[in-house]
Amino acid sequence: MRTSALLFMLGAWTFVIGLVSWAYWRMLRTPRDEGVPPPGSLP
Amino acid sequence: MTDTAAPREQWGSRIGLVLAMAGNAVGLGNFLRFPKQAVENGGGTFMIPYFIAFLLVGIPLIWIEWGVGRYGGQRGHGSMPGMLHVLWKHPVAKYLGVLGLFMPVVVLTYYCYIESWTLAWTVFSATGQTQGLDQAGMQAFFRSYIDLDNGSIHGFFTPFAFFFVTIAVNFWVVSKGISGGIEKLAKYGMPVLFLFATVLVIRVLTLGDQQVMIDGVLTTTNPWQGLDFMYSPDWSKLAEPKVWLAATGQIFFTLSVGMGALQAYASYLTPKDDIALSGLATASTNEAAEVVLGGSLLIPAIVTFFGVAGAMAIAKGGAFDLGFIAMPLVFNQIPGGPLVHTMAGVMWFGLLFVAGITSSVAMATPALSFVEENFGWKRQRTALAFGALALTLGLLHIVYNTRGFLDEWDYWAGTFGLVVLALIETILFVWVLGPERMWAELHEGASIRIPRFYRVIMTWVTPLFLLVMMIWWTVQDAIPTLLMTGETPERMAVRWASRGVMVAILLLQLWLIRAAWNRRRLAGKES
Repeated sequence: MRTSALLFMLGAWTFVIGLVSWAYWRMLRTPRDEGVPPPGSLP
Repeated sequence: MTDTAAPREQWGSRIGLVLAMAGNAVGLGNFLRFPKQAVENGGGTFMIPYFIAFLLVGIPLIWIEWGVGRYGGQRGHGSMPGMLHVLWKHPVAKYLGVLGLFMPVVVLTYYCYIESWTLAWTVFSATGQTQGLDQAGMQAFFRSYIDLDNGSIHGFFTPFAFFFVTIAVNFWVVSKGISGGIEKLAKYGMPVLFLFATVLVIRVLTLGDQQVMIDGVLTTTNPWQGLDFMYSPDWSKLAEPKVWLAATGQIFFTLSVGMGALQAYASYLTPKDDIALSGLATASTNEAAEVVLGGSLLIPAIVTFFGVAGAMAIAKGGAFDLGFIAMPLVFNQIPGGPLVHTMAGVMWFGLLFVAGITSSVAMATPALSFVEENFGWKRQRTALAFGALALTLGLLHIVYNTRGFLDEWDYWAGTFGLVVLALIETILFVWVLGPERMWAELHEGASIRIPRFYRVIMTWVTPLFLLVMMIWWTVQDAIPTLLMTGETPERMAVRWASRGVMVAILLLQLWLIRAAWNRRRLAGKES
């Protein structure tokens, strides 16, 4: 496999796996009914 | 007078909601369409416009559709006519929403037909009917199924039987409701889909070197050549607008946006439910299924046993030829004997069936919600009536499939219509509701704060992107398709009949919207 193809594949995989991992990690950290305050409500 | 918010069903759990939403997005296109698009549009460089479209159009549209859905649902509407009506208090708004009923109904009908192929091939694989066939035999096996005039291998009624079972399963699931049917299907189906896909990817990527005869020459091939073929960058393609449009189109199809189904699911959210993070989780789950799993299956497997030239030749026949002809041939050559061949076939077509059904039940939801909420029908009764309608319409696809009947529906409802509805809802949610309220709506109950620059993207970039796409598609495809350029007289007749049925469905739905609003007015729900 050529280096350029490998780099594109690894880049694409890293992006989507990173995004999905972060999203589920954040979801597991945040209970369903615990949201951030609405925009503008923080001092 | 405002709409009264009737008590509505709710999702049982957040993970159930995300899996159902992801199940809607992960469909046949993730495993069949994406690899073909990547190969045809620059390989590795296709990923650049693909991810740009994902960030500028895909994710914003996911948030917009979840927002539109929850906003409408809170005001008692589970389908687009009502959702657009509460966003824009203009008599025309609800009629624009007909697209959110029309497209899911039309697409569902032919999608279930294609889904029934995957069910049929799961059974054919399990019973060993695809084993021992060579390329010509496999082609004949497939063609005789999809073309009723060519019934030399399958019985005449076989496609009808599998279609009937597919419709029955779909509408049985939706008749059980959101939490008891759709959410349960996603909770069991999605892990199975990911498990099957992961097992197949591992098996394909560990195939190692294979000695295969290509054009009479014994050649050494391996799956990494397939990945190399798929990801090798062709920088010249980046300058071609059609590549950017193909990438944006793929993002549209893969995320199932512009359809009306995501909004219908989101209408069952409560104001406390998060949109920002859950929407992102849904979109990224779909991308993982598409890029990591979908991109590592079809092309590497086929290149391993047919070489790059062979894969290209098969791909010219379309994504279905790759999935239904080439893949069973690949499985027949995987080391391990008949049991492994059977298991690989069952897993491949089984995962396609699960991917299909988790999408098709979503398409059934808007019309069901519309009838339930506006005409007071019970869910079971609505599911039965709608199932009977989908079955009847689907018969036309089975009979006229090879004569352009399906192509016509796929283009107008499954392609062009998506961008039209996406543009309409974006303008109404962002501009008519107002960027401030849109932003506040998205952050109601949110688990994360959406980066501020996304407000600018959603206000300016996404609508502009959609507008350019719609104009381009109109010039490039819609006008030639409308004029049936290069079509034979026999196919033209079928295509006109196909359009006639579509127009009839559209008119019926417009009439139902009018009747629904008359009822609402009489009931005091509308002024």
